[in-house]
Amino acid sequence: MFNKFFKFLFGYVIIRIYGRGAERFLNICLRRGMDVWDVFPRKNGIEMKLSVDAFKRIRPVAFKCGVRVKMLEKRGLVFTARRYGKRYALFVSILLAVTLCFVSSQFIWLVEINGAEKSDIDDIIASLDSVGVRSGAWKGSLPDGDEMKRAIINGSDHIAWAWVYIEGAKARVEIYESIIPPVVLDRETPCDVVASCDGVIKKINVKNGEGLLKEGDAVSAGDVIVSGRVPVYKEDKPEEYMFVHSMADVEAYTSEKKTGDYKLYYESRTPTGRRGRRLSVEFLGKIFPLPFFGGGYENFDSEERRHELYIPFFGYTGVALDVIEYDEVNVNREPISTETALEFAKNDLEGKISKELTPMSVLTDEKLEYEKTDNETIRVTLEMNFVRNIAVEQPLGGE
Amino acid sequence: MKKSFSEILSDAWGVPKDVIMNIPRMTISGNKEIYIENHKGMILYTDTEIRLATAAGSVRILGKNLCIKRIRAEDALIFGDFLSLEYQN
Repeated sequence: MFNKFFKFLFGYVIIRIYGRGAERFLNICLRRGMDVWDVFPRKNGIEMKLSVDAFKRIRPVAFKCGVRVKMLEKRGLVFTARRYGKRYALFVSILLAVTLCFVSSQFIWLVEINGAEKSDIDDIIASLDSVGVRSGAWKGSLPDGDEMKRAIINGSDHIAWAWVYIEGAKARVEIYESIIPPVVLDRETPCDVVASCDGVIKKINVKNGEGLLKEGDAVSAGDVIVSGRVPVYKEDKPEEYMFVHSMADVEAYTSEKKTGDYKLYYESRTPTGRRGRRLSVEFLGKIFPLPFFGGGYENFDSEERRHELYIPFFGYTGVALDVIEYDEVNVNREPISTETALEFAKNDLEGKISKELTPMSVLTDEKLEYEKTDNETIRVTLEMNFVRNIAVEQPLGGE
Repeated sequence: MKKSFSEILSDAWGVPKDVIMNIPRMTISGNKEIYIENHKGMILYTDTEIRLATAAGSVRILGKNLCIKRIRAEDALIFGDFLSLEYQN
């Protein structure tokens, strides 16, 4: 790449050698130390690239070998500058654009945070802001990397390591989150065992504490099943209480119900081939929309892309092009039977209910009902009955 | 076969022959690229045949779409779809 850059910088010419002595011409050029590359065989001769310096020295070589030399093209900055030498406005504009890019790259215009999955992004942004890392901040005013790292780590409990990489006008924040250790069961704090949801107790096994309910009793969510406040009786003494960490396995019959609206048709989207594109330029942290061509579609799919302008050695310049492409689509509705819609609804509702269940829940019964709300929609209700553990520990006095 | 003085010297000192005897050294990558060092110049150049002079005779490369990407007085980098490579004395 550098080789190509320097060749372009100093300029080169593409020549074609005609005649029987083309190989001899090439050999003499090489012996005289001329810079030759990209040699291609052509009809009645050879085509090659030569440096400008070498080109000035080929006349005697061509005469010696009896070949004819034809210059096909001149390339490089020297020739380009000569061609556009009088276009002062163009040069000033280019100079201005380069200067603007350079000045723009001295500020932070984009803060990119990677690796934060459990941590609160707002906390990280606030921590960065407290040390001056924000959009529009001058890079010279930023503190050193360790200080930024400390601010991020101290601002959140879940971050083990962080670093801010300054890449041109972009501050890339890499976050490594700590692995949260499993909660150690606390057997010292006094607590009750309460019901996590409504149900009827099927089986109860009290390991610690005083059981208040028995098998067959109905419970509502939050009802105390086993109390951590255990009375102690001593002769000739008033009743006293000791507070324990109560534990129990409580299996109960519970019911979960979900309802949803489902369509009696299947929607397919076929691209028509018509496309529209909305462009906007992001510069100095602001977005400037460009005129919108195409579009106005009734149904469309869209895709967003972002192109950032990088300059070698400076990195991101703070200039980016945001592209939103719109593809017009034909929406086709194909009617489906009620049975098919019910099957889809059942799978969907089962999925929703299963997300709220505790592990080891056993399904005992389920019931699916539906009603038509209009010609294209049905309202489906799925009721699933389970036997599951509903015991949850709650500190004494807590609600 | 009688050995030349430089060959005897190379065998005695254990120095690679291409260093002392100036014989060609070729690096071939598949059938797409040949890098040849210690050549003595171009004899023939077409898009199906390249013949280079070397101290060990001429090297003939046959193939399709042959081209020289870079060439200097001592080495050359040749691209193309090679079919054969042979020495000719």
